[in-house]
Amino acid sequence: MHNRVLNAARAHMVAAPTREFLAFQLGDEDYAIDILKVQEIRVFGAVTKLPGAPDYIRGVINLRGLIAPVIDLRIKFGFKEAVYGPFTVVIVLNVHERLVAVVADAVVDVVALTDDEIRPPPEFATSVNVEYVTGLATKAEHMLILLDIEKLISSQELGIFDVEAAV
Amino acid sequence: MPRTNRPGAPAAVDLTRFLPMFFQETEDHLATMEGYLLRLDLRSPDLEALNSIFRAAHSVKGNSTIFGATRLADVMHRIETILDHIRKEELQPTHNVISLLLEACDTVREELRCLKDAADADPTALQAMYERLTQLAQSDAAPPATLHEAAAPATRRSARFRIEVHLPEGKDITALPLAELYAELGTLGRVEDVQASGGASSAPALSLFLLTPERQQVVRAKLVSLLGTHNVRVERQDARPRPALPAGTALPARATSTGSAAYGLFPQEHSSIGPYDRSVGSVTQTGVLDSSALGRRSMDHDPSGSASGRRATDRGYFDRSSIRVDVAKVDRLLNLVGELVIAQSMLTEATQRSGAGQDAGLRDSVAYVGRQTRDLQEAVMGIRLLPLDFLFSRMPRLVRDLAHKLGKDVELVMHGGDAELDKELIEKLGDPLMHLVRNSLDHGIELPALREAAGKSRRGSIQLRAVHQGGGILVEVEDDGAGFDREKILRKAEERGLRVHPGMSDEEVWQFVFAPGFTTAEEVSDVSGRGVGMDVVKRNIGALSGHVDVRSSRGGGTTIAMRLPLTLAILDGMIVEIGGESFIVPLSFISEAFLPQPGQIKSITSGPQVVQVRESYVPLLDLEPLLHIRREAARPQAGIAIVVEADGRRAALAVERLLGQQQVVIKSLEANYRRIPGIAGATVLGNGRVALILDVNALMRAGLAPMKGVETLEALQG
Repeated sequence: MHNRVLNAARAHMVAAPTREFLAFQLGDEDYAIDILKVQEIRVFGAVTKLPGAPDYIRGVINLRGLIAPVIDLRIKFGFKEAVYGPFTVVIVLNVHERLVAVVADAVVDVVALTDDEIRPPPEFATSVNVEYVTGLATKAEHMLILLDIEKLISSQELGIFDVEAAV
Repeated sequence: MPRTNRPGAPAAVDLTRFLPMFFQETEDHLATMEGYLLRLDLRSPDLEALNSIFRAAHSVKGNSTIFGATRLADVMHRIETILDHIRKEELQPTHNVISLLLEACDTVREELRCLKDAADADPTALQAMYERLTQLAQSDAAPPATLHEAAAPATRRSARFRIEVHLPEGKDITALPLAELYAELGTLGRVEDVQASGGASSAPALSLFLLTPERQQVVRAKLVSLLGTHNVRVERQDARPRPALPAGTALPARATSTGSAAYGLFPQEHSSIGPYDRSVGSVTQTGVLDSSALGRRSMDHDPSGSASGRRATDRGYFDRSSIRVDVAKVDRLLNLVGELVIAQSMLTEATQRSGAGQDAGLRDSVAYVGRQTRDLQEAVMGIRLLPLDFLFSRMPRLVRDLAHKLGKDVELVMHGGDAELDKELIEKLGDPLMHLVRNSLDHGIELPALREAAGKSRRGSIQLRAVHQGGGILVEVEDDGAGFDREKILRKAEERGLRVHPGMSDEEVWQFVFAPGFTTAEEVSDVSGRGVGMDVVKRNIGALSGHVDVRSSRGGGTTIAMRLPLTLAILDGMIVEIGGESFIVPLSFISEAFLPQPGQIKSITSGPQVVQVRESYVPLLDLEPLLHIRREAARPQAGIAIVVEADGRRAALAVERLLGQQQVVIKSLEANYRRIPGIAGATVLGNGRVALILDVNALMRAGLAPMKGVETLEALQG
């Protein structure tokens, strides 16, 4: 899947001024993140809990000998329920040369979006999470929420990295 | 890597990429020189040892020349001259002579360091050393007519041989064992005017002149034995011919394409592209270090002279039995092998589960793969191991210099330097070890007169010992000096406000020397006595998950024993279950584990609990609150108590179950996450799952020291 995704991305980089996003589901909402940040997608498996970690950090997994944290954004975003089923996947991201896995209910597709198709995000005063939304788009009559995943993952608020490391 | 061809240096190889190797090799050669110099018997110096020093010096000189560090080359040249005088018994190697040579090594090393850091070297230091060496070199009877004349044993009734090596069709000079050849010839005499034809069929592939007192047959026999069936011609010559080499003559350095231009690596453009520009003689004419007059004086004198021979020779001293590899590559390999081990154990499990294990052939194959995988893992881990000699070899010099300075007579005995240890540990053990040796010399060993008065030999002894023990290594520093003074330590401890009482055992008293800032030295010297020592030693060793023990007796000497794991990449761990999760407790901390009987656990002021371990009560640490694990109601109380020891304190960890003992590969959590208080790292278990490794030191500090105001692990962070 990794290769397909990357090849698609490369093909588009030369063809049109579009960017490619990986669309995935969190609950009933569809999100999209920059495909170039995605390293691989795997089935959600056994996670080892971390002492003292906030609840949205599910623990760590073994990625071919490297230890990566698993973040459940559904919990972070305050979804009512976060269930783990057979379609639950983790999207492994490469952010600032670190590996972080994010739980998703399902991966939807790789979508190409031109800048015209991306609408500015709504401005709410209350929600902190909206800060990481860079825009909204429509694909196949679904609303896609574009996330700045790099900013979100390395944010101090999420607290995944030590402060000095989170540049 | 991009290659940069310099103008005026056709086909020149960009040598900058060899610079790290140059620095490393020079370091090694200097170390070799020091080693032999220190062991040299001053009354009857061993010729073989002298030759080894000579060869090392020679290599440094040649390499320096290649890289344009001509001032270094000049200093090395002077060293060679002196060594040659010693070799010819024209100069008595006194203590002072050896000291000067050792000092020269230091100067060269310092110069190297400056070159490496691109810092400004102090030119006067090298110049001063050069002059001191020159003075010594000329103070004896030898006629130092020209510099390279002086270096060579030419004044003996040596004969001059022309040696030609022909190669079979289709082979070029790289097929020759040049390193061995030059080394061999170097022991016979002096090599000059090396020329390589680059494999043109009629001309000899290699021709050179050898000045040696040996007879023709001897020279020939050596060459034939070395070059086998190659066609070797040895001719005796009497005249001393050789004009400057024709332009474009290739060097026999490594490959004929190397070209002949000089490489001025240390920044400065070619300043003098003269008529000899393309001849080997111009090697010394470039390079920033050439700005001093010495460079010119030494080599320009005879442009066809031995510079070429030396240079070629030095390229030959290449240690072919080892390679230098980036540690990151080894670690990647280790990681991959670790994964392979996991994959293998999954395979084994799957075979058993599927019932395919009934098939004897398959079962044997799987078992065989398992064994090979484990052997592979061990072999890969072995790559990171280095012999302790890397550290031990630094000590003779330290002891020699320091003993001299302190007016003490000390003999250093070393055992077990071939014991191997992880590279990282070796590096981190260096400072503590040096500190302990220094301490022994300064505080332990008495002055010769005092020793005599105490009925001991005038010469003190320091022993360095290393021995494999269990899964780790024991490194001991033992001296036969004065030993610790119990009363003095108690007095000092009391002055510093430490809790003392006269009934303390010796072992307890000795622990005071590890207290920060503790010293019994009456005055601070620049050797030791500032009290920033033993505590640092203890902390450093502790950081490597090792232990320090002290044995000492008044008048009988002191032994400091350091127990260390063999590697930091793996550890022996006990897999335990706490709150349904698997954790690893490093075995090095565990003294025992037992199932406490109901009566053995008692609470104090209805709060903290202690568990009775034979005669003593040990605080019981409940890990669940410390690790923020939610307590499940159905969980049995306490379960198993694991008694751990760290920082001289004991505690019992309450865990639910012991799942077994295993060697685990330590992985970093911080690489992709953050540091977690109380967790030292992570590992991957046989089932592919991650297990966290407990940081016993931190847990004990958090659990046991509320009086210091450190109540939680979080407080320890930062």
